[in-house]
Amino acid sequence: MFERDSSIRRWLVGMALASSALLTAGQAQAQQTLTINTDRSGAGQKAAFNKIVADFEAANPGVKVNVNYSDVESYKTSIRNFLVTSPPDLAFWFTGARMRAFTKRNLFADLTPFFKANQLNEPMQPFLPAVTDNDKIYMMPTNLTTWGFFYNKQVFEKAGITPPTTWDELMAAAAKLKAAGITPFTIGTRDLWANDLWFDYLDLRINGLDFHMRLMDGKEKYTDDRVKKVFTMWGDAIKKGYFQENASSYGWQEAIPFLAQGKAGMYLLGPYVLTSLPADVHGNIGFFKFPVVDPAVPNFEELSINGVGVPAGAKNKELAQKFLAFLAQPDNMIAFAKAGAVIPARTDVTIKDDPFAQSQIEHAKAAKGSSQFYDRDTDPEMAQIGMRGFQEFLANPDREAAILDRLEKARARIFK
Amino acid sequence: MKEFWGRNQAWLTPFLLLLLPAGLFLLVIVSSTVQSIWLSFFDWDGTGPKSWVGWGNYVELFDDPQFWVSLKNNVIWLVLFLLAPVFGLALALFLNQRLPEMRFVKSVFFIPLVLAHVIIGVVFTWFYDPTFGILALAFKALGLQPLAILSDEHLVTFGIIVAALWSQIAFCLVLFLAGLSQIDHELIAAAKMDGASGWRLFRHIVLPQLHSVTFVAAIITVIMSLRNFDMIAVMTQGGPYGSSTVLAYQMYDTTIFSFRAGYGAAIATILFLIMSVYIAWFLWYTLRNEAREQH
Repeated sequence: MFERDSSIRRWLVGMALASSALLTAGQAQAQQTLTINTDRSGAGQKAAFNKIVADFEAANPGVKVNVNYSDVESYKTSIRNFLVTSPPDLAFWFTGARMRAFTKRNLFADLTPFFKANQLNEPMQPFLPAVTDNDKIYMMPTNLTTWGFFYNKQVFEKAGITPPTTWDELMAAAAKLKAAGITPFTIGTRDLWANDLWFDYLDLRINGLDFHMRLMDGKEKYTDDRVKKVFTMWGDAIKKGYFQENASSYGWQEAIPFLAQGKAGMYLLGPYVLTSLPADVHGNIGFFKFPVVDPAVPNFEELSINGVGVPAGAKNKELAQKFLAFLAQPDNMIAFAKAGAVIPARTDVTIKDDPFAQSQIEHAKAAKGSSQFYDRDTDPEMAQIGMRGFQEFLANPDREAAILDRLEKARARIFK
Repeated sequence: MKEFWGRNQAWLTPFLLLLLPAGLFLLVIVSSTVQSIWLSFFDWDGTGPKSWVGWGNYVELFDDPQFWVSLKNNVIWLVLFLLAPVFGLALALFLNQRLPEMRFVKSVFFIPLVLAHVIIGVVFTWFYDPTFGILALAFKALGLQPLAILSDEHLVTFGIIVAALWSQIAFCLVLFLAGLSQIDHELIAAAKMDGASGWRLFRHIVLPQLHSVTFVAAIITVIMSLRNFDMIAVMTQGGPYGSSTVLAYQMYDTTIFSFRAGYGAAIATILFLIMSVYIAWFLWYTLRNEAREQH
């Protein structure tokens, strides 16, 4: 058969030659490519980051940067895979325990020399503990998210409420809103994490930062009386019907329209509330920080630090660090942070033309100490079980004892 | 060489042709399955060192209340999914009429089949939304309080099954329409002459001829019910608090989010054992039929 069809043979050889020619031609024109995987894909931050990338390419001819944008939730799954199987040159991620889950498996490269060489230790000093594991720095902090109550100004005016500063005032405001037929607190718990803010803040305000971090590290029990106090106070508000009904039917973002449309009064969340709403509504959304619960406990806040790291398997580590140095410049940090309504992770910057951002910077600076976020501070498996427990508690506050028992069993097993 | 080929062509040709698919099957399916079962005896986080725990993962599994919830949900899926061939057949009988509009109507009914499960899941999530969803609006129009199906731990699995059935019924519909077009019209004409009609015609003449199609539809439906993951992941992420989780989702969740590949592999092995009951029955049934036909 093959002897007869020499034309087929010639065609096969021709194809092989052509494809190898194409391949080598491709190699000859290859420049340096930098691959970045990021979950910071909200419209504002995506545009800001694209500009930073374009500026970097302009400043470094012969370099091509490929940015792979992913949505936040699915990135949490895919990073587990790509850090091991196909690591990019730079990967954006959360810091704290979320970062340590990967650094203790040696999946990020050591950046301590990079920090020294670029003199970043000083301007980023307060954020370094979040990116350090075993005295080595593994990620560069980019920006931090502040959290608090976002409220609908018109709704408050109509109900005759001013932003509360104590827990009792908050409950009184909620009672007034409920009487007026408005949901006091909107929340979406389908993707689990919005609840963490309530637990974290109540724990910080009642029991203090020390106890909270020890609980995150598995050194305190979930059945401890102090944790029960948190649940009792939270359960009190839940049983009075102050929270969004059927919260687990809504993702965190889907619960925001209730706030904007005046069906709900407040949302304990981050500045994503603003980035998820069109600009013309921003004027109606106000902010106040989580109120004081126990006046004896200092003002601890939840400040979540986001960062970017170089995976251990990255192919272009030097180019990646060059990009990091470029990103770390104050102007780029500010632009990237502003676009996402978060604040840059440098203590030596001020944002002059955005009063909300500047107020958030002051808010962060005023904190006596901070935790990151429930699912960034504690072991990831514990976080999953804990968050499911909170989701169940919000829907069934009378299951408090069973839920705390379950969380404690999991804690004992995970942190043995 | 040519002589060897000439003499052995009868068995050599199929052997060579089967080499590639069989090789792929062994490599991708069989070796992965064996590897997973092997993994289930270790405690492994997915990237670090493995440590042997023997039956430890299985013992922990039977103590885990989430496992029993997942298993219960799998059984519910299995039982309710068997409605798909029933509705599929009913629809196929209805659509098997020689009207000119039928072509268009058939293609409308095929649509669920071509949509990705993820899309079906997302759209049904909007449908079930307790404030803005069409279902909620329908309830309000009737003066009833809308039900938050995806938030209710008792109703959530049924809500997701409805979404999955929508697509599975279309699949069975396609199979049965193909089967109905193959039945022997002479037999039907003869039966009608003998006075058979309606249910008796269906039960004694049509249904037996659909035997192999029904079998295929049933087997594939069973496998799809045990496999279903996309809709649960998209609609509820296994929630609320694990009440709609099935074994396939629990396996994904523990491996990816809890970094417990060994535990996840144990769940996968249990799922495989459940499926292999059906696969064994399917093989026995098919081989028995083929043996019969050869006589």
